[in-house]
Amino acid sequence: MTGALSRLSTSGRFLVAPVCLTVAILAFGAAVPEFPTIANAGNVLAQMWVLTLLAVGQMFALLTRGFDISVGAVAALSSTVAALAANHWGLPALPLGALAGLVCGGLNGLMIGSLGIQPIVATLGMFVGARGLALLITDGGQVVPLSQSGIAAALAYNSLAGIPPIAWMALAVVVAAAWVLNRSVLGRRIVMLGSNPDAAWLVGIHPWRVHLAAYGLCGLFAGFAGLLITIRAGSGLPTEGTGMELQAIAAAVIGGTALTGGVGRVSGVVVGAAFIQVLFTGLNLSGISPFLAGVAVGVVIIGSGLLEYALRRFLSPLEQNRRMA
Amino acid sequence: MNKRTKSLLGGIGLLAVVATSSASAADKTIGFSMPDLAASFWVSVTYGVEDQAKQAGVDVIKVNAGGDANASQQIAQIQDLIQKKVDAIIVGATNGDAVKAVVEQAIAAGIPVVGVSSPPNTDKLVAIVSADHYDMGKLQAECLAKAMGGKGNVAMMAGPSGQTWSDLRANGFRDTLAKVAPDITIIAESRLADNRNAALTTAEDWIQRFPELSGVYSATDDMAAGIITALKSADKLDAVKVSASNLSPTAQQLLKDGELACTSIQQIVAQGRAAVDQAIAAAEGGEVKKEVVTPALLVTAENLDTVDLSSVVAPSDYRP
Repeated sequence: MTGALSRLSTSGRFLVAPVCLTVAILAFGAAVPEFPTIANAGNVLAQMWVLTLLAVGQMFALLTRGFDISVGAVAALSSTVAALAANHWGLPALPLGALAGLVCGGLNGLMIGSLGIQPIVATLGMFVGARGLALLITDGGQVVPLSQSGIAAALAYNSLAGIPPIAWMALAVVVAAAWVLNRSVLGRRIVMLGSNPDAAWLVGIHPWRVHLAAYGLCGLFAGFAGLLITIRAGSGLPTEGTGMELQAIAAAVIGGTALTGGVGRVSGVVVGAAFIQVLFTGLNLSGISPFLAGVAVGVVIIGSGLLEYALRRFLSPLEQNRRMA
Repeated sequence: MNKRTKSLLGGIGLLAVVATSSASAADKTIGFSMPDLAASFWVSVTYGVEDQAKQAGVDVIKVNAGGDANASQQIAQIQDLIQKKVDAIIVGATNGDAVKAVVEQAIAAGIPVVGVSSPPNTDKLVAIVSADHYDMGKLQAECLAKAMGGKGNVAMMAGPSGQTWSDLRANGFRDTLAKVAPDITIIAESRLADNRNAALTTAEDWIQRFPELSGVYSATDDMAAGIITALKSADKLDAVKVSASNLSPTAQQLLKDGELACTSIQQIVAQGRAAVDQAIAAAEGGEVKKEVVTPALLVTAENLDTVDLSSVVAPSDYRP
C-alpha cells in the first residue's frame, strides 16, 4: 500500500519538467517567429549543457539529503585550472580542470561525511575558498585566454550532426551519470543513504564513503561544467559561475529530485535544465526588458513548484484519503 | 481545485509575458548585449542606444548578462541574437577575451558587430565606440595644475592595473602635466587601490610619508571620495587639491562643498548614440567609421549647474 502511494507521488514529481518544457516550447513557438526553427533547437541544445552538468552533479548531493552551493565557484576554479594547464602542457591537459573539481567535491564529501559538518557550512566554505583560489592563481581575477583558442572555438561552435562536439561530450558524461545512478552499486548506495540512513547503516554501508563519492561526483560534474565554460569562452574565467549553484538546484528540483533525499532521475534533471535554458533563450529572442525577463524566470520557477504540488495531490488521491482518516 | 488553479498561474504568466512582446514590423533590428544593467554607466549607454534607435526608427533587442562575472551568460545571449538574425549587434563585453569567439561566430554569420566602451577583443569588429580616456587624464592635469598654482608635489591614485582605461587616463595626466606645469613633481603612484576604502588607506599612508604633498590625481570619483576622507581627518584638505574622473552624486556633492577641484567625465549617452549610428550604417551597407571617440568634459564647482549633461547621463525618469 505504502509502496503504491510513494510510486504515485514519485511519478507525479517527474511529470513537472516535461509539462513545463512542453508549455514553454509551445508558448515561445507561438509568440516568437525565430523560436520554432531547427537552427534554434540546435542553439538551445548547444547552450544547455553547463547548467545540465551542474544540475546532474547537484542531484548526487541532493540524493544524500544534502546540497552543494559551491558548484559555481568550483566550476570557475576548474575553468581556470583547465586553461592554465592547457596553456602549459597543450590542449590535451584541459581535463586537469575536471580533476580540480573532483578534489574540491571530495573535500566537501570528507567534511560532511567524516567530520559531520553541515552541508551548508562545508560547501559555503568551499564556495568562498574555491573562488579565492581561482582569483589567487590568476593574479586577481584576470581571464586566462587559451593559446589554442581556434581549436576550442571549433569544438564549441562547429556543428557535428546538429550540435557542437562539446555538447556530444557533455551528453556522454550525463549518460555515464545515469549509468552510475541506476546500474552501479555506488548509485544504489547513494539512493539508499538518502532514503533511509538508518537502514543503510544497518546493512553495513559506510555513510562517509557514500558522502565522499556523492560530493566527489558533484565536484567532478562541476569540473566538467568548468571545462565547457573554458572551451566556449576560449579562456579560463575565474569570476564566472555566480548564481549558477542556485540555477543548478532549481533545475534539479524541477527535474524531480527530492530535497528530502533518495529520489532523483538523471533524465528528469536533464529535462529540468533544458526547460530553464528554453526559458532564457525564448525570453532573449522575444526582446522583452531584461528586468522583466528576470521576474518571468522567477515566477515560472515558483509556478513549476506549485505544479509539482498539484500533480502530487492530483495523482495520489489515496494519500489525501489516508490523511483525512 | 483552487490550488491546482494557482499552479497554472506560472504557465499563464509566461504566456502573457511572451504575448505582449511580439516584435513590431520595423525594417531593421539591432541587438544590444550589455554586461550589467544594474550599473548606472550601462543604464546611460542603454538610454543613448534606445533613444537614438527610436529616432532612427529601428528596433532594439536588449540582453543583459547581469554582471561582469557572467561571461557564459553573455555568450549564450549573443548566440540567441545570432539566432534572432538581427541586422547588427552592439556589444559591451563582460570580458573582451571571453566573448571573442562567439562575436567572431556572429561576424562569420554575416552580422556586423560594434563594440562599445568595453569592446570584444577581436580585430573583426566593424566599429569601436569609446570615451577618450586620455583626454580625461589631460583635463585633470590642466585643472589640477591651475588649482595647485603650477607648483608642488602630486601623487597619483592611478586605478587598477591591466585596465586600458586607467592606463590611458594616467598617461594623459602625466603627459599633460609635464607640458603645462613642469614645476610639479609626481612623487608617488599607486596601482593597487581600486575602490574607496583602499584609496582611503593608501592616502593615509601618503599623508604620513609625504608632508609636502599638495595635490592628488584620482582615476575615479569613488577613490577621490576615499582620498578626501583621509585628507579631512588629517586636517590637510586646504593644503592638498584633489581632481577626479566620473560624476556620481557623491562627486557632485564634493564639488559643491569645494572639496574636489574638478572632475573629468565621459559622454556616456553619446557613446550609446554613436554605437547605434555605426550599427545602422553597417546594417545598411553604408559608410562606417571604424573608430569613434567621444571627447571628455570637465566639471567644476562653477559650471556644475550649467553644464549640459544630456550627453552624459540618462534622464532621472528613464527606466531601461
